[in-house]
Amino acid sequence: MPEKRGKIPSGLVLLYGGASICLIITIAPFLWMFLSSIKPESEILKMPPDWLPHNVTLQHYLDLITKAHFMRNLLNSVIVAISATLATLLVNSMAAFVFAKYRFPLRDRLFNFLLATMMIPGQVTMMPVFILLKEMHLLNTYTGLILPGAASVFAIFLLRQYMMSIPDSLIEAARIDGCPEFFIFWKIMIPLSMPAIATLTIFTFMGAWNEFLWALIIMLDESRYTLPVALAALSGGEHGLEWGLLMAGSVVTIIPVLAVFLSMQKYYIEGIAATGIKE
Amino acid sequence: MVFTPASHHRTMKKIHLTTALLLILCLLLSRQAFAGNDRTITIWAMGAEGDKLLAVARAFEAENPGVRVRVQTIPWGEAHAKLITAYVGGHTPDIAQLGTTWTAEFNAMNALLPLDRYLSRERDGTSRDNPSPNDISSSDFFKGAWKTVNFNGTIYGIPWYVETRCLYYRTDILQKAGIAKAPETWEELESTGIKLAHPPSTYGILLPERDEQALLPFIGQAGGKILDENGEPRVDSEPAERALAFYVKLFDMGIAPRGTMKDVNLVQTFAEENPPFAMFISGPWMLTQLAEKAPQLKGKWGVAPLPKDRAASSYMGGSNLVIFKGSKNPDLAWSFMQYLSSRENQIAWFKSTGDLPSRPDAWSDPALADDSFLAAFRVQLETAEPPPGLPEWEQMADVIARRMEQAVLKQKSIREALAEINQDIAVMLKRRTEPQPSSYKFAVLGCTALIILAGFFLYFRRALQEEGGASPHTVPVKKVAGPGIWTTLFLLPALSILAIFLFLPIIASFLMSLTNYDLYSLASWQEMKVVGMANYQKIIADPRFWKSVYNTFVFSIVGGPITIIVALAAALAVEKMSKMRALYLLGFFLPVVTTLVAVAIVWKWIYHPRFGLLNALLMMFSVSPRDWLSNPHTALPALIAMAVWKNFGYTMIILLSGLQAIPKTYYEAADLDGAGTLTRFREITIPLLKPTLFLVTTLTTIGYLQFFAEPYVMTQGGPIDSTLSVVLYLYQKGFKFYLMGEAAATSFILFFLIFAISMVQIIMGRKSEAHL
Repeated sequence: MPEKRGKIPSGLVLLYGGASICLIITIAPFLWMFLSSIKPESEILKMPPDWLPHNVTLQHYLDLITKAHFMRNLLNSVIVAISATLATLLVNSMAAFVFAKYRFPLRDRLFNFLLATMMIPGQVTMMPVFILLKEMHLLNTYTGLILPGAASVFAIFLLRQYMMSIPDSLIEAARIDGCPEFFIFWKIMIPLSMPAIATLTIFTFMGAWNEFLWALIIMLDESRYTLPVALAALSGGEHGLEWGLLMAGSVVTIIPVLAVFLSMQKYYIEGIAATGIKE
Repeated sequence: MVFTPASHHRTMKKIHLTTALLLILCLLLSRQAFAGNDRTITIWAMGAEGDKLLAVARAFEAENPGVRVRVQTIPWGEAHAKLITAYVGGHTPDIAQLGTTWTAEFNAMNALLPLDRYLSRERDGTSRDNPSPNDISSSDFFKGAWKTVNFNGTIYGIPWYVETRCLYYRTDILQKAGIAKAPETWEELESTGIKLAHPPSTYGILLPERDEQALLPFIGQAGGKILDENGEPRVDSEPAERALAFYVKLFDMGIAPRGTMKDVNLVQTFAEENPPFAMFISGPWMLTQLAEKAPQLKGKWGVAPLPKDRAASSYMGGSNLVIFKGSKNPDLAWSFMQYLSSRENQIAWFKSTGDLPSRPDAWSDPALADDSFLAAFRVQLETAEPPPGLPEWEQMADVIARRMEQAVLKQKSIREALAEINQDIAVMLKRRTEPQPSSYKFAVLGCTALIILAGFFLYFRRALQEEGGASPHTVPVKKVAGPGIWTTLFLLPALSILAIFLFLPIIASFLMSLTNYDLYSLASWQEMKVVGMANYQKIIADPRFWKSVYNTFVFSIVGGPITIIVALAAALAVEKMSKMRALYLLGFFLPVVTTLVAVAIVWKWIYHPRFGLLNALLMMFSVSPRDWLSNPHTALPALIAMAVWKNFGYTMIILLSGLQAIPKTYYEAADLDGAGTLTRFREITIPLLKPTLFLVTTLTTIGYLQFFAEPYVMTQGGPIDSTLSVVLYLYQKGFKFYLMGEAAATSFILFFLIFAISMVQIIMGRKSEAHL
């Protein structure tokens, strides 16, 4: 917190100065990652390290593309992340709508019960779910990777909190006009919840894109690996790590999530502005 | 052959010809089809080995046209879990690399193909139809290595590469003390040690206080064994007592340091001008480490076989190659294993990876024979003994290490410690021999399940009755399709997925916590036994569990508030910004969107003792470099710093949406009143942000109490359990020792801990919500 009053420029200097130091700490590892990925192997392990490469090379990226399954892994990640996001948004926004706007027997009990399950660590259910998926013949499939996580208590919670702030009067008015319930959900609640949905989209996409342990266990063939698993496989050996290749792989792994965040962020801010007018 | 009785010779001839042609065509086609489908094998190998294996596989394919070898690399850390799940899921590869101690586990699960039929022909001396130089027999391998694939006389694998422990010593320091050569016997070890040791600054040899791999060679040298021929524990025998007594004596006489030396960086300390110890015991990987990390020490150190007592002995480790029972192509898999085991390929493998060949005859190659350091390992391999090949070994090792530490630290007498090890091992081995009627098991588990379901039913039923009087709808119901149906329709997808993949598995997991569900149970349900609350008692009595609880609390109590404060500051700053707001927002959020695997790779580099950015930065301020992740005092803070860096952006986004929901009019009114920044913050921002703050506090606490990925990827819980979290403890129980029952019990204890904390927070949150 800047201590001076926000109006005078020195407060602004403090604000931007503090934020900039924070920003440098936050992005330095990424800068390092990117710069290392375009350094030739000979420049990588140096002490003290050089930040800027003397000779820029794209060799690590070319090596990555020619790795047996890397492009396939990239495609897998795209398919999984997009379908997981769509499934999560649809399934959970419907449930959140009900919990936010309908009153039905046991609503609060059920909701509290769901919240309580959030406290159970994911590892608890790993083995039973794995055996279940095996019986359903869903191992090594995209469905097996996506379905168990499609319904999320956190997503329901987040959307419900937001939807509760949408006035009931809108729904009542729509009902008087003879709107069917699904129409109310789809044409009124969803558009009005866009900021929350945008937030959830980022989180879900991110979560699905970055999912590691489950993806590793469910996907049994290397050609079915998602990017993080493929990256971990690359970094498997403690000795003789190919830092350049790993850094290039890391860069490729984070760029799609960044792209989604960047595009959603605009939408996200617009959405917040829109609700600002509404309030 | 096809034979049809026919009257006409000509037609017969024609038919015969056509049939023959068809047959030939069929054969050709089928052969091609076979070549396409059935001449493929898959092999799983770990880490660097997997990458290097690819080239070998290509060479094999070139020698065997039509054959395809698919090499799949699994990261070492996940290999064990991955292999087990692959087996449970029925998706095993044809061949896999298995750590020597894992082979027993997979054999216990009945997962491996016996290989005797490929070996026996050579054994009984009968000649083969097509003898090849690649033929394998037990005599080709080191005796100790062969023991790791031999289970009750049946062979389940082939040793691929080996490792053993030798004595590393500083030649210059020994010479200074008037000692010409490394100690060869226990007496010489003792006398050398006395000459070198001047406690508390200098000692003779560095020995771990708590490491079963360090003690086993001594027991072997004294002529003892962990288990006898009948599989009965023999840790309370005279040789084991002699070994532990000698081991403890080395500490008592000041030859080996107690405690203080635990946290040192072995290579760095050993390379000092006057190191605190001139000898230590380690494996072949130390050769490269010393050469690379302490080049200045060249010519001042040597390696020797471990000192003998009644016999020579050392620890034997390494990796085996096995064929899984599910393999569709065991013959082809075997020929590839033969290929990998041939002398020339073992030599080539050593040259490419540095892994020591499992065949003694490969060691005559100049690449190995001319290396004077390797000579010690060559000698030691002849007498090295693997630990007992039992799936319970990991648990036994844990017990031995713990009791041995107690003996070294004088908390227990030698006899007491050994008697307790013996007792514990006997219990572990007994557990699987006592059968339990399946009707009993099903009755107990079935009843428990019914009670749980009945409990839920009653809970919701009572709630239903309590709610009975309230009006069912907030808004007037439409005439035709009221929310009643829509409630069901909208809830159905989410609730059914949650029921199948969350609620039911939780109940299954609870039932599992009442049983001894383990590796044997994975292989067959019959092996599972109901043990009641024994798992819970065991966990609560385990000091490692409480250590993990402590670490987890430190992580959330320190990491949680730091994360929220940094996030709040960032959110307030971003909210105030008029320019470049998007840039800052993106920058702060960047770590959140990044894959943890990528983050961990970069941060490992940042914390790297030699090439790390952090040490480089500190050196600019002339602070001496540290090995951040290997020091028990800095490892947890290092992980907390990384976690705050990674997570604050997430919290910031939620706080930001809360900040933006605060109507601007409040601030405008405050401005008119002339309120300062601080006043506005205290009087408007904080109170109106309370629900959001409550939300992020709950989320952050729950998230940090489940802290797992960071230590899992970065430290595996080490050093000395200083970063062991509860979930990691649970994960290790479940997926390292495969004690699924105990793991499930741990998860429920964790659940109750989290539940208690969350209840407090929820009650506090309710109060503030009611206040608004």
